[in-house]
Amino acid sequence: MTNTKSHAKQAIKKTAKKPDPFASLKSSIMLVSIAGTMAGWLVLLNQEKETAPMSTAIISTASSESGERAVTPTPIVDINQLRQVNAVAPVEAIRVVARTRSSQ
Amino acid sequence: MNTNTSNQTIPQLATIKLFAMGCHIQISLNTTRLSAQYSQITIDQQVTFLTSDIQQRLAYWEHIFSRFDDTSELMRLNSHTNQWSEVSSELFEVLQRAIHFVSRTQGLVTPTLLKDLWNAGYKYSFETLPKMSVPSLPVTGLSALANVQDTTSANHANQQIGRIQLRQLTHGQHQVYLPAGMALDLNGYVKGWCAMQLAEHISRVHDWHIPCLVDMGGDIAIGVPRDPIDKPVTWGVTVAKPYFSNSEHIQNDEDVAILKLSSGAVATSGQDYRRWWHDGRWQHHLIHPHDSRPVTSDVLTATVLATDTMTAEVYAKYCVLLGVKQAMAWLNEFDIAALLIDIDNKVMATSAMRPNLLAS
Repeated sequence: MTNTKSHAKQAIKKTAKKPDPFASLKSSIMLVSIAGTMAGWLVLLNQEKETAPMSTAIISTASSESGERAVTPTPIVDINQLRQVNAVAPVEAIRVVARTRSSQ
Repeated sequence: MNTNTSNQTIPQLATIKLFAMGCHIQISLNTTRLSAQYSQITIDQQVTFLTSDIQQRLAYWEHIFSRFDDTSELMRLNSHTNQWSEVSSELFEVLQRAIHFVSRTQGLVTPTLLKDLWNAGYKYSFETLPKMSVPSLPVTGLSALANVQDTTSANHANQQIGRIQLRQLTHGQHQVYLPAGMALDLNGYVKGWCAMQLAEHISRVHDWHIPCLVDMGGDIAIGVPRDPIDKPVTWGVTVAKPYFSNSEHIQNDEDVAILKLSSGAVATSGQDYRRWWHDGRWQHHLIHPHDSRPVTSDVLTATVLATDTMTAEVYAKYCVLLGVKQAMAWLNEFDIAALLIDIDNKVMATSAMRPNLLAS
């Protein structure tokens, strides 16, 4: 038991005495990696904003009895329209300001 | 009435109220857009200038068209028949349009019935006419009007409309020739014409191009700027329940429907309000040209939507003169938005009216 403890103490002392020579390199690589990931996301987001609306048309096929395949495109949905679903523009209230009746 | 739901913005309004040409006038200006550009003091100043301008215009038009003022241009024309008379461009335009409507209403709505109105007792302004029956005489109501049409007399005014001549001279003068014995009454056209003129002036000629609603005693025009920056303003207009009064009760503030309008016009004509006691019976101002008497009709009031107020006014009057059955057939045939109320207070709307009905 005594020997084991003294070995452990020595190992700790050795570790404390010898700092990792690659520590700064490792942290630099870590920072570059994080920055790169963030930049990548920003580039992707930016591209997604600037590109024209993507056609989300799906071409479905159906087999007929004769074995021919009919191509039926489904309606194209504009992604911008889908984005507007939850953005309800304010509606102007209708105010009753007059009455129509026999000339008075 | 404001409709209150979420995501709604309340429009800002300025209101001008006047009394002119024998009717109550109310002009509503939508100042929502202006409020973002100008201070309230500046807006108030402009509204004051506009009010003064409108008053001057109304006074000018009243002096042209009044049939209760012998010095008005119309009455001077009526007293100079069988000759060419120079008239203003305003009188020329209204008369030209009135003549145009004669053929479109089978000769029923015509401007040549002034003498028949006089015979029915409507020679002075409505406010001065007797509204209560004389106790010693039999009490009659709308149903009694059937009796007054027993004596039918040929009215040649409809045939005579073709004898009115209008000409515009090369140097811009307008002239009218009235045949002998004819007298014109343009009251059934002028309010609508004035409402449209004011609405167009405020929304298109005035520097600020203000969206507006002009109400001339119940005949209404919507003013829409020619190049609207914002989306069109939608206005709410109620259709009043026919006027009813007796010695105990006067009803004048109930409605039967609410309309929404973004452009065009609406007008109501009826035998319910302008009624007076004359010659032992109740009279009203809607004269049937075939017998030269106030019409007996099962239409109490008619409300019509059209692109301009004069058309709405004429068609509403035409519906009263036709009666419920013929009027509904005619309205549906031409897909005209209208609402009729018969003498039993039953409300009938054409299918073309439904998109404009907010509530009924």
